[in-house]
Amino acid sequence: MKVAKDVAATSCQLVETRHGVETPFTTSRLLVATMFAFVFLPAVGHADYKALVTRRCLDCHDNETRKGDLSLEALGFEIDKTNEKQWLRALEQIERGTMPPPKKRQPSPVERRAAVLDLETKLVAHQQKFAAPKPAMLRRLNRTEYRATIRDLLRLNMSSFDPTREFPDDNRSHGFPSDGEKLVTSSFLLRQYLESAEEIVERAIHFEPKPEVRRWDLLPPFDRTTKYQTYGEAAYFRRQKIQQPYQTISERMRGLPKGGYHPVDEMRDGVPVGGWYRIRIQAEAKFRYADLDPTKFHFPSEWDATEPIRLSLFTGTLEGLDPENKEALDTAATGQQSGERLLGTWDLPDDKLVWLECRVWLDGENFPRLGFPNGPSDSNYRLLKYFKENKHVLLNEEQLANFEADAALAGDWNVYMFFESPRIRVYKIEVEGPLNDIWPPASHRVVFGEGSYESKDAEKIILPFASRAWRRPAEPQEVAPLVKLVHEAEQAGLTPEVAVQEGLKAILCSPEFLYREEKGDALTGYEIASRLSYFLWSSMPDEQLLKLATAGELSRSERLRQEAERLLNDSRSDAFVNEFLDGWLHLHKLGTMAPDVHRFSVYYRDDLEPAMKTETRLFFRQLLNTNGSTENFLNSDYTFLNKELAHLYGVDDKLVAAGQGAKVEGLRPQDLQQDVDGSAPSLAFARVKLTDVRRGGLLGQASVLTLTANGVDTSPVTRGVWLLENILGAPPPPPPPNVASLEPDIRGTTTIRDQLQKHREAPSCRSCHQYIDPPGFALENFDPIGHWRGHYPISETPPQIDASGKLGAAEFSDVIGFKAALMQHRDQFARCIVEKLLIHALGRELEVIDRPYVRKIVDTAAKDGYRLRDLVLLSVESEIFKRK
Amino acid sequence: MKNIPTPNFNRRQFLRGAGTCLALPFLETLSFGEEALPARRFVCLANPFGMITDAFFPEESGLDAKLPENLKPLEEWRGKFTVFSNLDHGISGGHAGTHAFLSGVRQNEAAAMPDGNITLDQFCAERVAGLTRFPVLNTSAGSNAGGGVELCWTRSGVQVPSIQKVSRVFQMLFVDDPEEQANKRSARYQRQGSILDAVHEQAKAMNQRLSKRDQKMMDQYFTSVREVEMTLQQENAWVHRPRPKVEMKEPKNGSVTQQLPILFDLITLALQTDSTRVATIEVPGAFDVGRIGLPPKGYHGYSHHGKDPTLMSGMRKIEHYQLEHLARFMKKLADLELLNSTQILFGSGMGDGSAHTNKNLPILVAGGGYKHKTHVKMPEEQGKRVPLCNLYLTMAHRFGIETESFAYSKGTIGEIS
Repeated sequence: MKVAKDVAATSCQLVETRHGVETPFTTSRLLVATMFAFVFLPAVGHADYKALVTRRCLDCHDNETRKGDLSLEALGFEIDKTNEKQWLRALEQIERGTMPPPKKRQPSPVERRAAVLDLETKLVAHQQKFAAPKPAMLRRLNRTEYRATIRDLLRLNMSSFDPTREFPDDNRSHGFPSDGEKLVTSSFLLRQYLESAEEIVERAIHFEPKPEVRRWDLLPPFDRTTKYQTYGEAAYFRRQKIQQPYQTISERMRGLPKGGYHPVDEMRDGVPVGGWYRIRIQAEAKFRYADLDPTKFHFPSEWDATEPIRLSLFTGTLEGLDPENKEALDTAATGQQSGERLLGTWDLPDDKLVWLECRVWLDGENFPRLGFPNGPSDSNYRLLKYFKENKHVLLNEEQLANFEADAALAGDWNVYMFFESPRIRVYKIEVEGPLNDIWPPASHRVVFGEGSYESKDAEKIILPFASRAWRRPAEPQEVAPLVKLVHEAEQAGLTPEVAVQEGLKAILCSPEFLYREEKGDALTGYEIASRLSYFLWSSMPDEQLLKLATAGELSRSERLRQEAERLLNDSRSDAFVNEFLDGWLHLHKLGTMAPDVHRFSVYYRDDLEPAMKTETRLFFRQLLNTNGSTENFLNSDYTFLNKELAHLYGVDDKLVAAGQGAKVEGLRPQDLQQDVDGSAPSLAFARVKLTDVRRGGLLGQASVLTLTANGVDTSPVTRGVWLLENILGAPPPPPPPNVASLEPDIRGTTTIRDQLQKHREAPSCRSCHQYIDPPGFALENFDPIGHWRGHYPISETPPQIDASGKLGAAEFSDVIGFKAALMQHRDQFARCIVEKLLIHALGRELEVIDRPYVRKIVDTAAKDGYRLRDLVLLSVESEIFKRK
Repeated sequence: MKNIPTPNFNRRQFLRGAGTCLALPFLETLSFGEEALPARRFVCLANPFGMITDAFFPEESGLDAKLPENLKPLEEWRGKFTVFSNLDHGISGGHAGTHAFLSGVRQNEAAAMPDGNITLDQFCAERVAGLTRFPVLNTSAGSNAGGGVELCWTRSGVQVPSIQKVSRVFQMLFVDDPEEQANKRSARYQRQGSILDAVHEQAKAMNQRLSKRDQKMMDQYFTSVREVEMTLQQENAWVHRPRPKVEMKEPKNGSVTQQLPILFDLITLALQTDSTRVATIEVPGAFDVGRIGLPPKGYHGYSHHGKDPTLMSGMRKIEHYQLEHLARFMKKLADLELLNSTQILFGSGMGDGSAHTNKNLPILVAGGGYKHKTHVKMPEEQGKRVPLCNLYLTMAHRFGIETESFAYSKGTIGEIS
């Protein structure tokens, strides 16, 4: 018997080898391979899933015991319509190692794998016999894709233009807004398409002469709206009969929504036309080390003298506000705005007058605004109070006399002139633009070229634009209705230049633009080009891809791989990093259940939300660029932090400071730098080696921990389900109807663990919660924003958190042990990533018949430890990528 | 459908009621004609976090049921409202299930339903589109930071964003475009109409080469084109018609508790001037609890009370506030003699916010000319439960829509008819 078993094992390995490495994965070949084994090796029975099921499963799942109400005996071994679903579930359970249960005798890995392959082959064969042809889905561009496509189609600067801002959210499936069936179109959306098309064409097309360059040379006070301080300061200089030399900014932007921005009021109407502008600011940081020991003076809050004083430049817009409503305008000018954009942040040297310069895109109606992002908080009022209480200590006699004389004229708000608190003095602001190196701009040239336009050129303009917009050559008869539209518009009285723009708008509303079409089962070159570019750029294919499509080059795998590499190396692949993480980890959810503003005020004060996203994106981007192992997602001894995240994690921020500015393999300096067009090295993210192993990998990252909580509490169930779905790729079924829900009770000492323990006593609950709860509990030590905690913050005797549990047979006592256990499932994790990649790329649900392709990718990547870039490129090379 | 008693609704009384806040002339807007069926107005007020059950559901049932704490503000309207217990949609998901409140259908199941996950307001609005300036007004008293209601969905599964600023609602309802702008808008509608004609032809050509399955997707596009064409025509017809003049000044935007009373005023005026017949108001998670005297823990924070008595009492206060303003709204409508012709639905897709259940939803129906019974207990046992959609179907009928079903309805609710 023993001998026979060994032979069986050998035969299985052989099958495996052929399957995994040599055989291009088609079902028929797999069948041949299996049959080959049958014919030439005697004890082949073990490769048969029937054998494994008979030996390992029927003890519990026979007609007599029917554990979990399942009898595999009754199902019958022949796969048919009635039992395919149950056999698929059985396959998944055997594959993931959840069955047989840990306490039972386990099949050898070889035996398990062989059975899985056999069962999978049979399920696929069955599906291919019966299944209807694959869904042929028109896929509407989602919001991200629409926006990026417009950017590339018209070479528009989109940094402060979002034509999709009024579009409804796209429905997601498995986290991704890419499933054709879910991307519905409504009259509401079509209406938005009409509106956006107008806005886009208006921005892109410029028949008018080149706009004049204007120059603003501004002197203080720049800001007439920050009433007290500026007025106080301006008034002081007036009394002294001195031309005001500078404007002081002494307080951070703060609050919810944030206030305390300093608009450049002379430009409140905004720049007259959109374009590139040069902005120069002369400023000086003062009194960084002012003696403001908070323990002595209770002032000011949130001042950290170890940080350089920073100046930020923002855009502002009062678009849509009633110009008569002064109060609303002032509030908007000094408050946080939904469309605002950070143009740059600078670290200022102490006590040194410097010129800061940047070249930035400003849309029409945008005006510059200044801010002191790390200034003392709430300082104006506190400062006044503090100063009044301590003026005898702070000022010498002469100073005091001057102050009092001046205050007698104007009141207390002159305090800034006599007291040295940390501040920025802004001396001059110069704005110049629009700086058009070429005219008409690229967006116009890409449609009309250099020359003028006449009525007879309608088709000459419409046809090539339609071809680019539709991502394939358009035929003259196809664009006939559009050309007709142009002519009719002209007949109705529009000038030729305006009439032809109606045609451009129509192209942006045409179904060929809005939908990606995949006609046959095998994709055409153009369809492959779109699939690749939307996968890795969320945008239309560029010229090179379209050329390769025309030449029929993209059906060659190596060529396709080369192109995928090229696309990944282009900065447009940021869209891939963002979109994939939004879908895979649900990173888009961060902020939708925003943390409680009072309990987690640090989340807002330290701008942790964008920092959390940045950490995860940098982590992913670096693995992608260096082709690092995906095991790093499960556990790692490094991560990427700025100082604020380091504080949240309890990591010494000196480690961040030491790493700032250092080159990180696989990342560009600008990836790590968060100052946009400014220069603030102190804001940078750094690669930090973790001594605290609790933080390693995705499960220690605050982004994941926050998005799996609801902003108030954590729930092991929510986190457990998230982990099963997105890390282990084994989503639990939805809860059955009519289950009693958990009623949280924070009065006493009942913990969520006690409650779930009770919940699991019911067999119908246990069947899923035995898998859901343990991973959730492993993360219970992280609070709703990912801060480490030892106790629940409830009642007066807060119960300690117990994070222990079992993952399969592996017991763990905390998240460190849990991650070690998770490492044993790295193959399952790799498969989960591949499935997510394919869902994102293909825009449809994966079916049983896709399994062999997934398996091939995972098996091929296994030998190098499942490297991230390998997984992406293998997905692109897979046969499945070129089929519907 | 049953015959509904015609309420006393004539121009004279209308004027008397309206006199306090309306300036003349506006009468042409009152020409309902055939459309003036009695309860053809619908207003829904909803919150994201449910209601604490003991403060909302009376213990007794029937007209004379003793009112619990939160219903006290409605005492003077006994006979004009009904609380239903044991109604829900039979779904779960906590926060992820609340968006189905007004549709009965979760968004991921919408594809399988003939009308998708259309919500009752949109369903009603479709019926009266074009008759009023706005088929429906979807509003919210504030931002969705801290939890949104996600109340309204179209039949194609798209969430309708709610207007979060009272100033915007006011402008839409009562501020006319300057003549030049109106002409421009008119011209624009016409150009957009021509673009639609062109892309419609484009789509027909494309459709011929599509598979059956893709043609189904394309149907959405065709339907949308037709609908937008119609809307453009309707709106174009309204462009040059003056908006009603009201004495109210354009209100300032503000926090939830500042905006909610104003929204009720605006919706009242909108109904009174027949600018719309369907409206929704969301009470979002941004509710500024500080202004009703509570320590600032956030609406969402209070809903996670975990049975803590302080948090529970805070939560009740937030809930009480909402019902107080509902009562005030009812009074306004009653003064204008609009209450019997306006069906009001108050509720939430969340049952118990602390336990995150979507069962036994808080449901209150007011006005609409029903024979109200203060509290109706629907069957509690499994197998006998009545879907909330039965109530929606009942309300759709009363709105004047002849339909056999609404989402998962299995019939109507006769208890208050």
